[in-house]
Amino acid sequence: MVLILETKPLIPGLIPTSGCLITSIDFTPEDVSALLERFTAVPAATRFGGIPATGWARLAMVLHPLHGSTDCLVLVDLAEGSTIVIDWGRKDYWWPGGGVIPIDPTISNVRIFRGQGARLPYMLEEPDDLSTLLWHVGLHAFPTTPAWWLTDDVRYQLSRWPDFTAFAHSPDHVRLTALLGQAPHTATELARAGGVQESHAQQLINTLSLMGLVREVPIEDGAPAPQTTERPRGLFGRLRARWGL
Amino acid sequence: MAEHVILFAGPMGAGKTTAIRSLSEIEMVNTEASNTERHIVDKETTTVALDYGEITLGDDEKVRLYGVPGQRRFDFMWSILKERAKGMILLINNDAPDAVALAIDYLASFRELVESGSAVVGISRRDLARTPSPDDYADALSAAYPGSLIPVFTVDPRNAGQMTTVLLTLVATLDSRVQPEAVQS
Repeated sequence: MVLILETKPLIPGLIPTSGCLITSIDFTPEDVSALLERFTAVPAATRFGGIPATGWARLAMVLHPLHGSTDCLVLVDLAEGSTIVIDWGRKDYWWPGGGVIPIDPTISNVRIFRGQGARLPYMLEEPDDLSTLLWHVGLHAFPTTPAWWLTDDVRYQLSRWPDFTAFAHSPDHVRLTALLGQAPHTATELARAGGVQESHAQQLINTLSLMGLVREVPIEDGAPAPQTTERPRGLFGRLRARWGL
Repeated sequence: MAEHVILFAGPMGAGKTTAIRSLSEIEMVNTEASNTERHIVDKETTTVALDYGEITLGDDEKVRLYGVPGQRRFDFMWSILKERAKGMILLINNDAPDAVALAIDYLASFRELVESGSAVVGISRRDLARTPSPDDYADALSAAYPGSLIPVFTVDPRNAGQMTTVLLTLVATLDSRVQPEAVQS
């Protein structure tokens, strides 16, 4: 990994930003681990066998520690040639690839620019809300396992609703999110309360955590499970049936 | 008959009438008159009493959708309707001057619903004004109502799918508050 304290053009059409450039060519799993350690502790990072070399999981592991940062740019180079530009401070992103963002991309490089004023003064195209990218990455980064920064000794409670109308979602996502808003849950508890598979509940917690929309509540010894339970035949279920959703 | 009254509130031009039209399964009942405040919002007509739409759930249950007039001089209507309301959807046009403060101001008129977690905010016309962002609203709402978790969505009131999400979110928050012993089979 190379630390370069200078400013240089990012990609054609961009005004360079100030701040330090943390970059690497042929970014390795060890590089990602070292990068993460610079920002925050990641206790569960290697629980499931280490950092992947490619894919959204790798980007998720880079982005999650950035919560709380304001002046930060992230450039994500995809193997097929396009670059996703993320303005973390403004919560915007640009993807020149157009169309649908791939579900299982190969990421060839991730570059992070941090420091005061690390913002893009302008781009040629209108940005999209970063939340739409984070939702996509979160859902597909860890489809069957807990995100690697999550730990077993906490429950998760919603701290802010995602802007569901901004991206594709299911009624179950809305329902489970409402349950997380009422009380902290583990994925197991959320799955039981919502009547869904645990992997589905886990996937949502992964995603909301990546988006910075849940807070951790430590599980104390002997603490009871949350009491909130959805009405099995509540108005939500009847509306959903009425609309065939 | 079981009835669930949902209010649509917000300033003139935010899209309340359109939102109800997107959701209602009946031809919407509305009470529009010439807009005498075109210096504020440039549209020919505006709601002067209320809009009404409904969704039928079986033989004996309806969701009633009421759009309250946006102008402050009709706020006596708000008091009448909020007594019966199960929840409210506040629509705010993002191109309004000081839109966040406007949202806080409207929510204050429905404080009981907001504090009981029975409100959702929809930001319309964000294609015309990209700021303030949903997070700007959420930050202000968190400060005004500590401990409340008010969903904030960007919406196009013409989009039935988006309005369905907004309504389902409101209902999901209401349903999730019910304790097991209160469950009705």
